[in-house]
Amino acid sequence: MKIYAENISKEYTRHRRSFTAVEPAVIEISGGLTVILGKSGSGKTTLLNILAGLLAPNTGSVKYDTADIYALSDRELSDFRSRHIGYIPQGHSLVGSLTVEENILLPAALAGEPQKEYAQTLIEELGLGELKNAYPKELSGGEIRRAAIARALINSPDVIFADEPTNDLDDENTRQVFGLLKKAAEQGKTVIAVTHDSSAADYADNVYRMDAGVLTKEEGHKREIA
Amino acid sequence: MNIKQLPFKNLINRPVRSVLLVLIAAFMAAAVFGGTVAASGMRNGLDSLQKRLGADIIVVPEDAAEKNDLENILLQGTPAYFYMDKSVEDDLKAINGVAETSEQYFLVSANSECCSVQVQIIGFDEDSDISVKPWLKESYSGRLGENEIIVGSSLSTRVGHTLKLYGVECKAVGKLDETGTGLDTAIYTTPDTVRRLIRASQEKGIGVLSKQSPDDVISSVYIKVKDGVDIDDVAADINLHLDGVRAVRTRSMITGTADKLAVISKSINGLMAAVWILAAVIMSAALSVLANERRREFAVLRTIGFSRKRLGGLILSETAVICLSGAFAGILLTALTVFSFGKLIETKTGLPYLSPDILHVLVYALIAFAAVMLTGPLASAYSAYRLSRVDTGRILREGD
Repeated sequence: MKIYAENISKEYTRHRRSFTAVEPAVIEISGGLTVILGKSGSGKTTLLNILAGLLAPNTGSVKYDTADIYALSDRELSDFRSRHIGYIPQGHSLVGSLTVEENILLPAALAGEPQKEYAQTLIEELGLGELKNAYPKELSGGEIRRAAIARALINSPDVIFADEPTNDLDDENTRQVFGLLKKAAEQGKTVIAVTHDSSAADYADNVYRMDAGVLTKEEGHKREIA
Repeated sequence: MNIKQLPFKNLINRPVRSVLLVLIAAFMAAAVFGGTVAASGMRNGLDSLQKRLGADIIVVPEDAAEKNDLENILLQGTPAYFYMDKSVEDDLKAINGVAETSEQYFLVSANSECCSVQVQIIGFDEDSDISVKPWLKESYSGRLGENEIIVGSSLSTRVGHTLKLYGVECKAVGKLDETGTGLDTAIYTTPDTVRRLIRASQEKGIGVLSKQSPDDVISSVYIKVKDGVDIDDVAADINLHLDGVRAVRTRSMITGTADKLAVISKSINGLMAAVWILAAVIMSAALSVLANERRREFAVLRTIGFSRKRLGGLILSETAVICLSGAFAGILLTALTVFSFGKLIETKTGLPYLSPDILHVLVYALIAFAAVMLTGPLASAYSAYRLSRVDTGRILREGD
């Protein structure tokens, strides 16, 4: 699925002063693992949320193939997210009252498509077999992140967004997480991750850099500012 | 994993929070249900008391009216006895406006004869009675024979069993329905049997009547006035023309009770409203605080495809489950308490109390249930709206 964002920008007001989190930008992503690098506060999560249909931009549009997602109603957009988008939020993002397995199955239950067998496959692949009945409070940071990845994959989405997927993780867990994202990209999914960890570029097919709200493409790609 | 299980799982896995909210809902249900049942019980007690009166005027010896609390004796069955000359009844029949008269005889059982406390024995004339029989008929339709009695609902004596009163074996042939008044502990019989018991007391030296023959006395006369005649005028006539007696309007006797009941009913209603409002405010505040704590959880649910409507529905479902559990527990516990302690309410308040029938109880339970089921979701409506409008992007980008 091709994502095309045209002229998107976002402004916030902080302490009665407005500032631009995302300067007007154009970005086109189709397949592969795209990494957006940037320091904390650079606007990369804002950009990710705009692309994921979670935060409406002040200007511009975001199209998935030909569908303008911000022209959809809340219900239609929610349904679209449920079926086409997997999102891995930063930090602790599991529902505390559900076990690991239930957390992974939640998007499938929401879509009304039981994926019990696929969930087992994901649980095994992500090394969560012994933890499937555990509650989030019993898990380490790496285990929580892996469970969130499994949850993002359960509905076999076309696009996966990951916000700081390796934040607070050690090197081994970082390698494992990016390995999983890379694998999903190789299986035909469009994967977009934002991170401050520059080692993520090693796994990426495309690399962007975000600095003070300005998005630039690295490795010889031309700067895409509208 | 079924999406419909999510509200239950959220509640079960946060037991302390859930139990506290269920307790608030239970408190609310208990206040509404308990309040309506208690107020209804008191209203029923007063109705029963009014029905019990039957007569328009009651005539008693003058000194009895001065020394005793007639309301308690005549309406609440407080054990007491007093007598006046039997000829009073004929004099009363001659008073203008009097349509019917019926005499009654009072006697108090001796301690430890039948019951743990003294009970009032009331003799009434089955032929002329206007105040007792219509009400007795509900539970006993026969005619009382020699030494036969009818016992109040609160006495443990069963029909067919005998009681020894002043050494006389008396057979219980009927048991009354509950009236919710002290008369539930009284014994009813014929004037002949009462006279026999008075003689027996004299023989035993207990002597409730020392000088006169029991055949020459009565305790009170119940009067029904003719249609269209002013009851106050008749009572005034009696007090003016007959010496040694006092005519009392029956309605005035229950005024004090009715006034007390009105005050207590108002207090119950006020308390009920206060508890209900307080519980609603606490629940609303608690849900609002919890909603704030769960902003991130709801933002995460948005990322996996929960629409605003579905998020609002999730919160309302959790509140509905809390209210359902609370209402059920509150109503059940209150029902057990109120029906177990109905007598205690009567004793402590000194007011007649008659528990409402099952149909009314069910109606009150439904009202309490509806009150809680409406209040809970209303209290959570603002939180549900606020959470459903949560700016997912802003919450998720915290730390960006």
